[in-house]
Amino acid sequence: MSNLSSMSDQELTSLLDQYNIKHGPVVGTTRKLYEKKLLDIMSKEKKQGNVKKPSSDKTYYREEETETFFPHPVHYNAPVSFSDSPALCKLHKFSDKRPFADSDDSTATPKSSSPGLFSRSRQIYSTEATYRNVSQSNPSPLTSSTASASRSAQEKAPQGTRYIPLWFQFLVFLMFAGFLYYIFTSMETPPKKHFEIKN
Amino acid sequence: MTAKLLSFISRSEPAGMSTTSQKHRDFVAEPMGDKHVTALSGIGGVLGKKLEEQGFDKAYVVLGQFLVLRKDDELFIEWLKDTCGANSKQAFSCYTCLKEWCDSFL
Repeated sequence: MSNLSSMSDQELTSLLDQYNIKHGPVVGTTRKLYEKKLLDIMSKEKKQGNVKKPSSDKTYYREEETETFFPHPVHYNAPVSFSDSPALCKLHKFSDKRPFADSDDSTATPKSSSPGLFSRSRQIYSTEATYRNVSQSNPSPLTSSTASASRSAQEKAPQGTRYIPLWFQFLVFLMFAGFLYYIFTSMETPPKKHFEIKN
Repeated sequence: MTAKLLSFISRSEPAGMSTTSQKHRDFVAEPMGDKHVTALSGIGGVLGKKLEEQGFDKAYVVLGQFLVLRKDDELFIEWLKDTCGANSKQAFSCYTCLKEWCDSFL
């Protein structure tokens, strides 16, 4: 194992198979290449054995990603988690992945425990549920966009992923609104004349 | 007409034709016979000399190596880079040249 060049061709072949390296026959001209490949993989293995931080970092990042992906729990509170309608069943599954959101649900609205309260609160929240049902017909893109908008409005920290800066977007919006208002005000006087002509 | 316009704008060859060099097209057009290794696309004078020193003086010897490496792109390109110091572009060019030749004549 230590000295690859002293190994026979068959031994090298078996080692290559062990590491799942794509290879052809070990011949005079190909031997050097395969020895080099085996050395690379063996040194990588040693490195991976010593340091295991990158994988844990990845999982941590994934948790963060799930945090950003899901919407702010305050808005999508009661009707999402508990409902018998099939339309919201999807959302129920959707909310299953959010343990912290469910915990927020329990603290904000304690209706989840008893079914009696649930039926009453269901009436209260029915209108809201229908509204949210419509608004949540497309859960993933809508929630992701609103999540990103809400989070960006609150934090303003993750600006690395933005292509157009937020202040610029607001500025463009304000300019567009002002432009429309200008058109609206400039059109106020003509309608009077228009009505006079009609009469 | 729009295709022609687009191709003119992108300044590449018309659609359907890959961007291959004349050397590539010459090599792939006929059996290699006893051609020198520098006839391969991507292998110029400097690389040709280095390959010759290693014993790969003819194109068919490099073909032999290509076949022994099971015509695999990664292996062949890695081998070529290690043997004669070719860069990625040259090695890939040589690989596609040999691959196409094999598709036609092997």
